Amino acid sequence: MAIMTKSIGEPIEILRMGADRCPDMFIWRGRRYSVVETGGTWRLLGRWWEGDGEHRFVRVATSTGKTFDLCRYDATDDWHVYRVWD
Amino acid sequence: MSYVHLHAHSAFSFYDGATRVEELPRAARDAGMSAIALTDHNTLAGAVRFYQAALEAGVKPIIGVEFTIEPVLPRLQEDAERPPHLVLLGENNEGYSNLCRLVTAARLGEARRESAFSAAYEEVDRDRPLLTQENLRQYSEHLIALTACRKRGEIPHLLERGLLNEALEVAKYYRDLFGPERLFIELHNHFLPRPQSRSRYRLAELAARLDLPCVATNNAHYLHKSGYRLQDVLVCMGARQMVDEPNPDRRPNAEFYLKSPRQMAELFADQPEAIANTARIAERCEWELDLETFHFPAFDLERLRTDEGHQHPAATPGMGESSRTFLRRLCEEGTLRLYGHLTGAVRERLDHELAIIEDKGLLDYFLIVWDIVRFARSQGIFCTGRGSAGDSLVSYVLGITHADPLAHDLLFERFLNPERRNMPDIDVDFDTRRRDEVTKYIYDTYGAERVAAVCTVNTFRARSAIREIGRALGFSDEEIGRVASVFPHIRAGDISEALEKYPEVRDAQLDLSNKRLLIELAEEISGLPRHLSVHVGGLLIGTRPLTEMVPLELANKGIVIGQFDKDDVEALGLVKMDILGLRIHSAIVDALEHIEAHEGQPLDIEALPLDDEPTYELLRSTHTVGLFQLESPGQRNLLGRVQPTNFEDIIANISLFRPGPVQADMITPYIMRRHGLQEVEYPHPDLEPALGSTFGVVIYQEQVLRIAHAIAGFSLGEADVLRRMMTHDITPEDLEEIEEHFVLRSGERGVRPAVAREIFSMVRGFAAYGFNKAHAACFGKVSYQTAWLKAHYPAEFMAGILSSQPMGFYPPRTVAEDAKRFGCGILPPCVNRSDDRCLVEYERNPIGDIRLGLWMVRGMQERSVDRILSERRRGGEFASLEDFCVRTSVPGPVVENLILARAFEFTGLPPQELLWRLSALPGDVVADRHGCQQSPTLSYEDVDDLVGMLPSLDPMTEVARVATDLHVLGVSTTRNPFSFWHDRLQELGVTPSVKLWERENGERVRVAGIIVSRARPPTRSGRTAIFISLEDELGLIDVAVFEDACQKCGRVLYTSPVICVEGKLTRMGALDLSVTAQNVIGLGSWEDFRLAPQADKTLGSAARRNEHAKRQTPARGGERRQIAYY
Repeated sequence: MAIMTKSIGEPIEILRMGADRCPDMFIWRGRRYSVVETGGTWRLLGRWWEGDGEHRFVRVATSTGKTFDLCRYDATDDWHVYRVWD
Repeated sequence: MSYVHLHAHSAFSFYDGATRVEELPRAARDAGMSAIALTDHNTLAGAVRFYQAALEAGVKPIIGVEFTIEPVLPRLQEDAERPPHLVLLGENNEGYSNLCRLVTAARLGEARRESAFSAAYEEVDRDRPLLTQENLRQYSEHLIALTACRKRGEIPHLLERGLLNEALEVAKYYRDLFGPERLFIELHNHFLPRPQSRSRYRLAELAARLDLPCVATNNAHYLHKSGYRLQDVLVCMGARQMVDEPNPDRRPNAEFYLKSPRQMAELFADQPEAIANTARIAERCEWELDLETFHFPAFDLERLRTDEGHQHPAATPGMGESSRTFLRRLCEEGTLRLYGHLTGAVRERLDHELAIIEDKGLLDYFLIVWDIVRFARSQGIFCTGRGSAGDSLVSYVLGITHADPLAHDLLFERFLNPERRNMPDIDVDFDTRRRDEVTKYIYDTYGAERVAAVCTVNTFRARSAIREIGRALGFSDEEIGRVASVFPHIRAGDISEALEKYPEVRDAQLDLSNKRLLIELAEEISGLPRHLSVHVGGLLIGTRPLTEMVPLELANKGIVIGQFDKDDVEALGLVKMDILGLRIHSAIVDALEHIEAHEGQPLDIEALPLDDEPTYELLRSTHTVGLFQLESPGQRNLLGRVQPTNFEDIIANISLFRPGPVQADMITPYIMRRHGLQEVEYPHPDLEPALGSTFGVVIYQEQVLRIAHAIAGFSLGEADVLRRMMTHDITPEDLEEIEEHFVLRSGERGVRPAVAREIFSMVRGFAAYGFNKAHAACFGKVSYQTAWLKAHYPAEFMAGILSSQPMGFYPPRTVAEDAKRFGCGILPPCVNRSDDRCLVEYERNPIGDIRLGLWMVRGMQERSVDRILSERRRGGEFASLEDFCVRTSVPGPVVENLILARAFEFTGLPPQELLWRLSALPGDVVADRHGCQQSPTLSYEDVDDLVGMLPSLDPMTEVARVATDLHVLGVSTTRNPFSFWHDRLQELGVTPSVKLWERENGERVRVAGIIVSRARPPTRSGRTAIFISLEDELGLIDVAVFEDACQKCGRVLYTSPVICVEGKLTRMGALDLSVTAQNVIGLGSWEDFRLAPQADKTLGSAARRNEHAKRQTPARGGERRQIAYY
């Protein structure tokens, strides 16, 4: 298992969505990443009593060799980087 | 792909399920499933509703339970507070029975084998049901086991902890127990992160190694995805935690809903066998609840033959006598006793009823009820039947009910209709204080395992929902209390409406800006079950051990209840008896005891003639405070108008005083005709026999039956079906159909259609309001008995009423004043003379004075009463206050109240001095509030020295006396409290409450009284309206104060406890009487009579002396209380 290096909530820009409702291509910190493999999705509840909903997570391996845990807020349909694995 | 949810919770999983159980089958059907299982935690409370809803929805119901169970490998249990779960499904009816037994075992443990009154039940942990492996082994047949969830299933949990061998060991154990065909490894896919998302694969591997099948479930806790919030907050509420706090039982995401077969198939696309197995299991489960048959327990004749304690030959079944012949013999003997013969109409009626009873298989049921009543009688426990059972001659001659059904034209078919499949409902009221003896007899007779109380399902209401959800969401108790207390007792689902429309809620100016979520969730939770509690009187008596059909648990108060409520029980055809407690019976019994003690011989209350003139005189005088059903101001008004002269009048009075007849204004024509002021007319001469007794007005349900019988030739059974149809909501089409049928049948008898239609519409108009005459007759009998007692033995009767408080319409103060008007003195309690209840003393008054009971003293506890009485029996009368304190250890604050209540008058010392003496008594003499005596501080000699230093004490004034009495006893032993205003009221020309009924609508009146309640609901227009209840010397007056009057004199309503109101009398119908205020003046308070200052002074000075004494004696912790009148 790779070592987790960053845990961040930075927004990403989705360039293309895949058929499995996971990002195919996105921009993070100005750089474009292409997804080569999806490694599973999961969902976790946020602090719903504060207006937060359920969050969908997806682990993607990109062509750069970086693996990301991407997270989508159900309420806003915004995608974020949740974790980056080197 | 067909899929069936086999692990689904309803809200009966209490605090772990947000699905209404009735909606589960509907949702399954809508999602295209052919079957659905219910698997609540340790309960089957939703089973019957679930079953019925499934039949209705056309899906196959599968019943199961998710048990909390003793681990197979206890040594590996991580958290003793969270034992493992195991899901069990019933394969067939035997499986269902086993589930019932297992739930009972998990709930009651070993105590279930004990009698219902055993101390073993004290050991039962109601909050932590646990099924032992031993119990499971006992009843493991016909069940299919699923291994439950990742966190709580023992097998998946061990696996998740990496303990493969141990997981295998547990799986093997269950495989051996259930067999490889009936153990399924449960797989979940809840979109969890790794490694949890892998657990279904590891479980599948384990299953493969043991050659066990897998099954996919979703462990559904709510119907739709959106339900997760309520589910999550429920778990927090159940754990009494806040949503901010972590809790392992909360679900990590919103995936635990009732997913569609398609969704499930997608989730388990790589494990299709686990999906296919759900349908296979569903196929195998065939569960049928019998909703057709009645389950009447057999009456054990042998028991009566051999019972040593039962020595009544007439009530003993002979050898070879069957239930049938025995019941007939009892009835015939009873008939002879009550009617003196067995011929003609009586014989005919008896045979008719017995034939129907036998036909319906109810012979034993009647014997059971007869036996319970017989037992109660033999123990001197006063009881009377109520309700439609009074329509039956059999009930009457068996002694179950007490009003003559033939004399009052009561119809058996209203009670037991041969045309309908219905359970007879016999309700019996027993003396409240001895009701438990009756239930104990039933438990002893039928065995604890065949008797249980019916449960009541308590649901979330507005207040409880706001309180509990609010706390979980982190609001302070204060804030929540502020919001919750604003709402009346309404459904949680009506909160929004109330916020908008209910003046008292809307105007409370709640700050809800941060409570939207709370309100939303509270509305969502509306009507969900919250807990089970004991039904007020219902007892289940089973044919077989109840646990085969009904799961049992322990409710609060240590009572074993079935997990089924009264509707469930009725659907299952189980026998339920309502064993109710009635306080008026306690009062009657007390009165009879007082009479017997005084006169030396008992009075047979059942044998009273029903034509006693003094009794009717009393009723006509309307001085009926204390009488059963006849004491409210409206009822007293009605008595005055009806001027009853016979028992039929009493029955009519009870029946007419209901919202329906009042709204339909049946009262006025009835009274007009009753007094010959209006001609009695019948649409058809054949109606006269049915309506003659009520002068052509339809008052009773029985009359509806009679009419349909006389005009349309319906059998009485058919007529009752007709009545029921007209009573319930009915479509215009159906109504028309019934009418046509009625007209047709009437035509066959020669009644013209126009007349038939007129009669039909008359009957329809009244059918909805009609009252069960049998019930009114049963109650009327008790009303009559109370009236008779009050007319002939006012002191004995009112003593009984005072001892049975709280009861009826009036506070004790009013009851006591009424007793005084009947010539009875009210004597203060006395530690040397008083009993626990009120007694009657005749030394100063041949009518009798009422010696108040120790129970009436404020703060008195059972323990203290017991000590006082037992010590007096043991060591004789108390010589002094000090002697009393030493011998009884009654807590100091209670002794204080006894002193203030003049219970130590025999010492000849004034209360002030006694109080002072008490405060100066050494700590080892006076017990603290817990009844504990403290270490010695002062000796008696010291106390006498201190008393010697006392300044002289003022005696209490009359007004202070009354105020003190009201505070410590709730009644005045001297003057009527309101009498202090008497002169002033006369000056003002005030109309007393009881005289208001003689005044006309719109008349200007002045009324006065003490404010007993004050409500200020702002109106739709936003203008103020204040509604006030006043009590004067004789009764209550409702007063409305609207905007204009409020502007003028609103303040006095809040500053003066006693007011005089000038205004317009509003009389709407017979029951509604109020005064619309135009002007209000304050009559001041006790202060105007120098009451409050003196009361304060009296006690204030005692308090000061107390302080003085405390400086000299170490504190004993007696708290001084303000004397407040209300």
